[in-house]
Amino acid sequence: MKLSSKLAGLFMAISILTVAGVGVLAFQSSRRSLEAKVFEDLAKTTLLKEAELERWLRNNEQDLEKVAQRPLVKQYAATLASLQPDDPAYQEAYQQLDIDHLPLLIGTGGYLTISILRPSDGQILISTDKSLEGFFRENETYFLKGQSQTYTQTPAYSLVDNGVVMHTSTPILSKDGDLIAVLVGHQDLGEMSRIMEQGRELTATEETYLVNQFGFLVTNSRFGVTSPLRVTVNSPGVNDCLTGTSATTIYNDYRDVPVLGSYRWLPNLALCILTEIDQQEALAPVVSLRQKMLWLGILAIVVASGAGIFFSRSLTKSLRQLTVGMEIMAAGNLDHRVQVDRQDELGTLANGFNQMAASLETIQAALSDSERKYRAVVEGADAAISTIAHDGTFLFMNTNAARQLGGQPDDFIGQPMAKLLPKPAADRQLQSIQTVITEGINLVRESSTVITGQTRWYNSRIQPVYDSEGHITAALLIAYDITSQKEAEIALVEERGFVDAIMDTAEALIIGLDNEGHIMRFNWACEALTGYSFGEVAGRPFWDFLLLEEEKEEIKKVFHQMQAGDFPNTHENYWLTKSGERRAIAWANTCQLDTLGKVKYVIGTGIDITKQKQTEAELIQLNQTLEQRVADRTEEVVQSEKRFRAAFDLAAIGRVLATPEGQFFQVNQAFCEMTGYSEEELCQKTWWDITHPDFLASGHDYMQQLIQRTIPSYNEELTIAHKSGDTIWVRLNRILLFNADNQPLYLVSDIENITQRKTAEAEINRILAELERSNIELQQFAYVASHDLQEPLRMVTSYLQLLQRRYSGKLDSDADEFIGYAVDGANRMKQLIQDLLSFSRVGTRGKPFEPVEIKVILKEALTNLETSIQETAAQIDHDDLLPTITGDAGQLVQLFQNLLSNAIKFRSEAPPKIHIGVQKQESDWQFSIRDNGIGFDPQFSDRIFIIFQRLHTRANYGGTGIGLAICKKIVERHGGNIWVHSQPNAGTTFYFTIPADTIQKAEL
Amino acid sequence: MLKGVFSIKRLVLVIFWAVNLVACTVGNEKPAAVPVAIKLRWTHNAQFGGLYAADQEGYFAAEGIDATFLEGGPGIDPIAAVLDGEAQFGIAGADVILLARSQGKPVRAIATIYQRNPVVFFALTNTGITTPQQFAGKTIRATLDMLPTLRAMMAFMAIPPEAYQIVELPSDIARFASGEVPIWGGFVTGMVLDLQQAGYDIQVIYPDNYGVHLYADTLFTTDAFMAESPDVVTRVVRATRNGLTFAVTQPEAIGPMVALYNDQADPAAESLRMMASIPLIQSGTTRIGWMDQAKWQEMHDILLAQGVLPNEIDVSTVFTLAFLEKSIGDEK
Repeated sequence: MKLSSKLAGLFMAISILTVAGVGVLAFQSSRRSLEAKVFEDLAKTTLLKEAELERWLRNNEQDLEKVAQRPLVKQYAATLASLQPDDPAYQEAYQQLDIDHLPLLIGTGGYLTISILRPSDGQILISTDKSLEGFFRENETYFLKGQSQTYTQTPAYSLVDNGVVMHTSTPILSKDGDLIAVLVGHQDLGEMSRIMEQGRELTATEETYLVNQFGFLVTNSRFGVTSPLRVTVNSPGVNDCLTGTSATTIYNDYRDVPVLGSYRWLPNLALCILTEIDQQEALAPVVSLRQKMLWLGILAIVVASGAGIFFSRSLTKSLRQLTVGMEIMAAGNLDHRVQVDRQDELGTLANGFNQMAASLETIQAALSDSERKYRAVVEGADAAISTIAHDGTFLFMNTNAARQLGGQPDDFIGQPMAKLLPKPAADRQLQSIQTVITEGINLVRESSTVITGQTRWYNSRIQPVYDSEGHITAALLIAYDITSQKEAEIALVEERGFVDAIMDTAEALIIGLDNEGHIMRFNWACEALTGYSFGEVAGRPFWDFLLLEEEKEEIKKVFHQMQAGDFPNTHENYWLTKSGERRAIAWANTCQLDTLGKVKYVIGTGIDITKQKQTEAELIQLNQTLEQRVADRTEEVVQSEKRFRAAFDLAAIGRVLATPEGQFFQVNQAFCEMTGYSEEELCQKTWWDITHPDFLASGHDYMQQLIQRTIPSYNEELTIAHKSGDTIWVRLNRILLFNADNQPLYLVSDIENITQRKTAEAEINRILAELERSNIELQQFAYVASHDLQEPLRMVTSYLQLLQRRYSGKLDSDADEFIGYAVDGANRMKQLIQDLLSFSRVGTRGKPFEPVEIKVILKEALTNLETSIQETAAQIDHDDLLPTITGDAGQLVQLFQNLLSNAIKFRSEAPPKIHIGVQKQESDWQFSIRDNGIGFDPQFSDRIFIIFQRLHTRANYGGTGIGLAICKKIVERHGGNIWVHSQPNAGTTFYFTIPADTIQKAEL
Repeated sequence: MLKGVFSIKRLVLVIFWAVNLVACTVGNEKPAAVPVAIKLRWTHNAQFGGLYAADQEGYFAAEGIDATFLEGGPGIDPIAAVLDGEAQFGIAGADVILLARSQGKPVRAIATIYQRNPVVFFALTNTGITTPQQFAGKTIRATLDMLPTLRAMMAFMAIPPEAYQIVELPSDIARFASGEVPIWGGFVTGMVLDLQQAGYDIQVIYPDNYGVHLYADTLFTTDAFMAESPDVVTRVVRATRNGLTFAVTQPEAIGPMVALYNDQADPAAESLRMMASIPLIQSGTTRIGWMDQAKWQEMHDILLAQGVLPNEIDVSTVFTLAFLEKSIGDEK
């Protein structure tokens, strides 16, 4: 191969390697620095937007709190929460809130709607959106949390609004800290979107947006999504952020487009904030560089191949120049240009390198442009913004920050903080910076610092700055200068202190009113005079409660004249104290004007002249009072007489005035009708003339006691004589009146005709006596009848039995049957008569009560029933406790025997099981006899205690139907009750009680 | 040489084909899709849009589930269908599940479809009726399933049951317009939508504004199925949640999907119905499908107070969050 070819090939290879090496190095380094720069910008944008969002939310919260703290708002809210809507005070409060207070917060980019909610049930009492009034929000988080603190809820979907809402709430508290109501604002989410969208127009694809904890988009997206909370966005950035991570990195966004992104998790709002820019746009300058390099490389190879042979001949000098030039450029000096002293291919190659250097310069310019945009955002902010290294050196500072320190950014960048700030402030700040950088947290605080000899107040926020690999490189300090706001606050406090000191030590009354008459100041002298505390009167119009009704219009007139410029002036009027006392006050009034010359406050200074006024008035009054009293007394006497006359004449009962001796001198119509006498006839008589002689002695006796005043009055039922000679029963109420000298004056008597009642009482007594007699006769009859019937019956039975024995089988079969019926009938009649006899004996032949042991009674009853117990294999047991009670032992044996025999008789297929229970009640012993027998329908529970009442046919169960009637009578004679519980086929339980008041002792 | 190259090429091809085959076989060893039947509480409509989306968008397939939807309708009891084994899952009202549980039926809610109750009350705007207080002395149309909501709302407003009259009528627009019954109960996704479409000016009263906050449609299965196949339950819950997320994000796609199951359906109307359902499914304050013990307790107390539930029960036995938690945990 020729040397020229070898040289050409070798030269071409060297050229390609050199071009490729420089190109790759330059491309990589440009890409890295551009990426780092973009990440830093994105992180700063995210932090700025976050700070802006928090500032917006905090402002909104403070606005809401200010309204909730207004005294008038508290007063009106309390009225709404406690009164009914038809109350005039409620309507007044509603109007005031609706016109003067709630609308203040609307339309400033903060709130769309403001409402006040009742704490007891969350009802919306008033709202700037009328369609919400009356609704209940009792389980909403903002209502529940807003009762104790200011609270902003994360955005949520509202069914009734059919859209996304975000609520802030704060409590309205009384002076004592009690909850009056909850003030709720519905935030303007459009404003939140606007904050996220600010500055978006500076780029083609950069956007900042918010995502909630469930991955739903909360603010509008740049790429078409404008329905917040309808769409979930899903990307590695969003997913990582929702785990609470903050970072800057490259990933595919929700459109699946590669982006450079920065994101932060905002725990307070439970939201994620993301700032992203398309990788294509962010890295566009290096992509363009890569294209150009590629073309240049190809060109270089073509040129190098064509010029190989020529180069082989004359390349030495030019080649060296070229190589030196490339080395300089590769070392980073892009201003260097290869000297072009030839028009050949080498010259073209040299030109190519020069163009490449120019392209690299373009990239640097793009970087500077990006830097400028970022600076525009930073310099445009109200805040002082700086970046500070771990050792306190300022790395960056915006003009605003430098101005605070009294210079330009260049004066301070690179300087340590300790050199610029006083030592304590610098140390404090440095410690905060180092904490933020070391621990990766955010710090927010309010502090003062002396700078250039002046004390300045700042609201500052310090946050970490991350590099592309997530390491913290420095701290970002964003500080808002709030000095003027603070100074104004301090000046105001001092001035108020001075004025308060004057007002609270002055003896004179000092009151300050706004131009609508609402009380704004009320010194201690006013409080002492009226009894109202300032808290009670603050914000209320003074004429509502301090003025007399008759003076209100006059004082309002004076007030309005002052508004028109008539001041200073003096006048006198009365004040009404809390206890209702009137105080006369001499006033000297003046006004304080605002900057427009309009009256802002009316200030009244007054002296209490009540005593002086009273002395004057008392003298005048005294005279008038004396005259008036004479006239009043005269009128009273006339009226009293009229009233008495009417009451006397129109009374429904008899009413009589008599002398203490009993002489009638005034009687009413009712008494005349009762006695049959006219008023004239009666006035000729005394009480004693018409009183029945049987009651004269008692009447005189009572009179004596009245005169001696041992009794004030008395009632008596007695008879008096009617004019016709009949006797009338009356009820008399008599009272004796005395004069001032204690001498008896009148005898006043009210008389009620009770003849009818007396007649009825007599009739009842007569019937009762008759009934008792009839009862005794009946018992006697039953006893005598049954007793006397026994004798003839015994005879009938004996002879029938004789007939049966003697002639049985000797007559025909009918005769045997008939005799059998007759014997059976006679036996049953005998049983009936014996039972009837026992029944009547319960009442008539009972023995006196004495202490008896139930144990003994029961034993005797069981002995009597021994046969039937054995026959039926009945098991009978009882409770351990059997008491001793007071009663008739014989009857009690019969009671138990009857009930036990009943239980055995009405047994089921199974052998009878009977239990006798005893239970102590309040004042009784309750006994129960429970069996497992056939039972009966509960509807017959009362019927079975009636004499001769049977539930079963005689064929099935024998007996006369008297046993339970006897039981009832025995129990009732002992003062107790008997009843029964039963169900068919489920057994029966009889209960009875015997009073325990005479119990002696319970035995085991 | 050429022959050798050819041979090596063939060998490489053969090896490549063999490896590929093995890889495919291994890939296909995934078990066949599990067949699952879901009993609906009503006929096919956008109410079940989330399930159709889960099916059509492949969320069930991705979980290895082959889902079949069994249509419900008047008089069909989804609880009985699931207990009888006709289906493994069902959609039923939360009140129905409470009632079933109180009767000792072993069913349990595993996710909500409607986190808010679609039952509302409405009147023609010209009647001036805007609040439940104005219901006193009037007649209200309500079907049986709306009664708990109505009674609870009126009780919250302290209006006794004897102060108003209830009639049960079919949903009939002409009858509503006649004004013979001034107040009607209905679904916000049903009659309300139809009336608004027909151009009627109506005032809607939401029970949510008057202290009544209830769940409506819920997905349930039996205790036995949960114990036997917890993994299948988790997969069905996850696919359903994905389907619901799709439905609230792209409601306009649901109408045509409904038409695939019900050839009588009007796709445009069904899409509108789906849009109206979004606030019922997606509250923004909790995850789609999620349930809350306090809300179940509130429903229980309301139904107990009205005598719908015969006795008090422990609401923690009525629903479980286990599968929701697992499906969401797996997502992360």
